[in-house]
Amino acid sequence: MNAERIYLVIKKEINLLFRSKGLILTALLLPCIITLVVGFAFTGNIKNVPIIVINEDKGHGDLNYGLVLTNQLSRSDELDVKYFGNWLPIQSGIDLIRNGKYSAMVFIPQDFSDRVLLGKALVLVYVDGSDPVVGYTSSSAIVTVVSQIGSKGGVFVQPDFLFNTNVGVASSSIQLNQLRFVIPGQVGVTIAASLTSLAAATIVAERERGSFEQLLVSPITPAELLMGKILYHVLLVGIVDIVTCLFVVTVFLDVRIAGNLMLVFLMLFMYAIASTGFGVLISVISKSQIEAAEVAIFSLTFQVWLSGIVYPIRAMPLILRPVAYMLPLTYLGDGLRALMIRGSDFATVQNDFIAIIIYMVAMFALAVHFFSKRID
Amino acid sequence: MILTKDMTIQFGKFVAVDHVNLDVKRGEIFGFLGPNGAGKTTTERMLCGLLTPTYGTIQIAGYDMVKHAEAAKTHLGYMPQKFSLYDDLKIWENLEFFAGIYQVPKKDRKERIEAKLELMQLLEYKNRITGNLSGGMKQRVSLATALVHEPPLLFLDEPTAGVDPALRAVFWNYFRKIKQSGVTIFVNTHYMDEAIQCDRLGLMNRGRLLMVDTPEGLKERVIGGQAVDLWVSPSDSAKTSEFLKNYPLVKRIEPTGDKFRLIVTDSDEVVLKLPEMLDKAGIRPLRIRLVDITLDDVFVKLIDTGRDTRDIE
Repeated sequence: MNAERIYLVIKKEINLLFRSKGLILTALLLPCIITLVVGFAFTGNIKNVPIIVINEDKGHGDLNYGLVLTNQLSRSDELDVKYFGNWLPIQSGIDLIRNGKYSAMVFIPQDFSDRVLLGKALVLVYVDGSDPVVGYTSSSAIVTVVSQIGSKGGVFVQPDFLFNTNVGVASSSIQLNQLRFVIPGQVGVTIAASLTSLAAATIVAERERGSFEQLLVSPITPAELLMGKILYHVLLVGIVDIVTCLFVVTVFLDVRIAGNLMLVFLMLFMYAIASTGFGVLISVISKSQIEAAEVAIFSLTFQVWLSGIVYPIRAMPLILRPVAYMLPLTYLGDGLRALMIRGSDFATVQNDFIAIIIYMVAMFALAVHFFSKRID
Repeated sequence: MILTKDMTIQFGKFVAVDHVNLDVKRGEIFGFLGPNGAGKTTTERMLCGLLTPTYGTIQIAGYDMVKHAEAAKTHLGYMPQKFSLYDDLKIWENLEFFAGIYQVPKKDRKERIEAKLELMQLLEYKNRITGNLSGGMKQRVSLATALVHEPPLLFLDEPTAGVDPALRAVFWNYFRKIKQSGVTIFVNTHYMDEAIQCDRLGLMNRGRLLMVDTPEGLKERVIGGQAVDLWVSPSDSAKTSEFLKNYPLVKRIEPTGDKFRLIVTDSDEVVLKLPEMLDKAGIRPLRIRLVDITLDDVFVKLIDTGRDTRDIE
């Protein structure tokens, strides 16, 4: 490989980038905007979930634990309580949830105060199971409040998920009101989306423009041309993307990076190379820019849903898991979550690094291979 | 400069180029002719290293195109039919890029680029964005780029397709200038007025190289003499035909529509004496005229012959 030719390809691409306003926008600004907007969507806590409280508690002398519980629930940030006293039948409450007006219902039975004093009270909770995230949030908020009632403890809650038998009984300890765990994966998706689609256009664009022939009759080798293309994308677009993403995430979205920032950067950098390599590979085997864009978008959609950044791989059917483990985003999501949120060390993410490096090398080798074949 | 031996390429069962043996000499302008689909472009693409032949060998400036592609490629320049440089780069940047790709020594680069731009009369526009140039200027940039590494061999693929006649003449002036500097030119063309300016011509049809000769030699060999057109009234047609068969100066008769095209050994003599002789035989010639055989005639004739023999096969 001749270093000067690689350098010239990079320089040419940079020149072309700065002459094209549209390209600057898509290559450099869009990822920043996407991280900000999409990431922002995942930073909020779920607040003010509307719930119904039915209180049939007759009280015990001056004590009415049913009213105490209602007051406590009203004070919770997560919940917005609509108090129905004792006049609403349970079935009507469930109908209100079905109509979508409320997300959960707390039913306090008539002997509640007596039983609290005995240490064996029961509260019935019904949750809208059709939206698990909101459902888990409200049920866990309710469980937290209920468990603080009564000096002796001993109040039992039995959340019942309506309309969705698969959700089952919520385990009370899940804290889903913090969705920040999605952000590392989202940073990965942004970088992959930006680089894969840009790189996917690159060789096909030369082919469609005709400049490809001018390059092919020259002594430049496939490896030199592809290396130049990849390095340009990674060194310019990739680094700008990574830096803006991390900046947006830490400054605007207030996500503290718990682990080593250099490791986070390095992992994203290698992932950027792998994504670019994948884009170049698509570009080499596609016949038109539209075809390349199509493949890039399809593969990204695949990665987003199957790589475990949104939906846990452990919960996927066995047959799909190997697919998940073939996707580079799986390793990036896993590694970044460990580095950014749990603050893990290098040893923890070592395998993620190895997987991304293998992917990186394989993409380049395949691209060079198909490039040489496609000339004929 | 170009030497091929039994160069053949097959796409599936279709033989696009069939055992072509070319020998293009240093410093000549070699024109490559043939109808659409004859295999001209495929041949040129193989010679430039864009396609690998299924069989046979190609040598460019002494380097084997298959075994030593990189060395062979540095010795050729290629100007594609369609403008294919970077629209968003300046003229200078396009040339600089390719000068680097061809590894023109760094210290010579500036000078070389300037020289090529000067030759193409583009030096004063060197900082223009290429995409904003007119078609003719783009072609000149393209030609300058193909020359920037000073290749001893230049491939032109229909360089003046879609260019107006005045500009075509300008381009051929450039080509002759380039030739004078010692560069061998291989040019694919459809225009016979261009073909006539070549030193030698190769004629291709149906994947085969039919003939290689100078333009004059081709005329001589294909047509076999000079031509005279003779018109007689339709009623005399049969009689004329009979008469001409016994006329010694006529080598061949080609009746076309209302006239006879006579291929003769001495056209002046025929035009001078034939009317009188016809008169004596009781045939009244309506008109007789000397014909300048053009390459078009040669072309059509050759392609027709090719078609006939193929059909018989």
